[in-house]
Amino acid sequence: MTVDEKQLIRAARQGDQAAMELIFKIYVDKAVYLAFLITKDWTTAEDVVQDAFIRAFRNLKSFKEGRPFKPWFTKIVVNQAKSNIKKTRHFVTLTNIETANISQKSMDELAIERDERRILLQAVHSLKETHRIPILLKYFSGLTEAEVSTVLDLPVSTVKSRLYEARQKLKDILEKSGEDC
Amino acid sequence: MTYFRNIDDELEKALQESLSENSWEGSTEQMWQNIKKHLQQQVQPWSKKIRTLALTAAVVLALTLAVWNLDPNQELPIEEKQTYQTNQPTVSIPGETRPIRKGILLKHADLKVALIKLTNSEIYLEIFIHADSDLTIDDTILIQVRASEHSETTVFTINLPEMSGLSLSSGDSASFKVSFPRPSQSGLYDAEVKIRYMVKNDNYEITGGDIYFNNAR
Repeated sequence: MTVDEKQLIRAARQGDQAAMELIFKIYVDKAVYLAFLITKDWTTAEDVVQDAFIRAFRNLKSFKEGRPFKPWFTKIVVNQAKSNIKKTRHFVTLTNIETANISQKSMDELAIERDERRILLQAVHSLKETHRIPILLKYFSGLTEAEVSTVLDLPVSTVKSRLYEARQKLKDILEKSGEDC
Repeated sequence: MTYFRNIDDELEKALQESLSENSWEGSTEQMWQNIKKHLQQQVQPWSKKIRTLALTAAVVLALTLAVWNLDPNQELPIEEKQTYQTNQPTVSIPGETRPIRKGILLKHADLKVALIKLTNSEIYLEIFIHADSDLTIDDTILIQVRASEHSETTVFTINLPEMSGLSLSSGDSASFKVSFPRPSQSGLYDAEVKIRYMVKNDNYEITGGDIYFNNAR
């Protein structure tokens, strides 16, 4: 956490709305996209992040000053996203995502969509939640394994083994995908 | 596919780059307004609680007054305006073996009374007054003596011209000595001292003392 962020959080704890707005602007985009990667639905992701910010600002007093804000807030987003998935049971399948994306793309973009990055992302989407979320937290949110363990309330050893299993599954999917091509 | 040999690097790169593809079309401004609205609503339950508590307290007070048959606008009697504590720590005077209780006025002044001397005919008291507000002492001291073994009550009214109009600022103290006739009958007696004073043109009375003495004849 930077000194500026510490000051921002201190001000927000005292009810300074301008500070809260700045914190919101710093984290909102990445939070919405993380929520989307978990819930696979933009509307749900928006609801998740809005609720997560409300929850975070209301509970800012319980946030220990000096500790990194990002894992604390990410935990709220992830929990909120998981809870929304359970509530709505509104899953968009991998096929739906592909179709939705393809329909908005130009022919040139369709060609690019065949690239490795796209395939990898689709492979991530196809992972089970227990494997997908640790992967997203580590590689998308940039959290350390220790921070991922805090966010998911899991021992670091479990996080490590889930990450390993997830990577193995991704390799399998990608190899299979390569063979199909 | 050979490019996923270092899957850690590829994953990181792919997921980081995917952020640029973030096709969220929602409005951050709209979301912030929604959040702000929710945070402002958070204050309301507390204000509602306070209002409810205040209303409940008012209802309880009204009911209590109704039970006691008191008019809420009625002035309390002058004695009840004063908040003083009884059963204060007692002080024994050697030889007299009678405790002296201290009456403490919390509102404007602190009154303490000490039994100095008991002769065949007189009882001597020293009265200490400490002002907690700016006040002016009246010249009349009332000493009410009650016999605890029979119903006899005698009230001595003592005028102290030297005290008349004495103004005390908040924090000032004054002391003076008074004497009154010793009761003719033997027994245990309780003497209570009352001093009148004024604060901002309002009359008040402070009660203290409650000195118990054995009038052995």
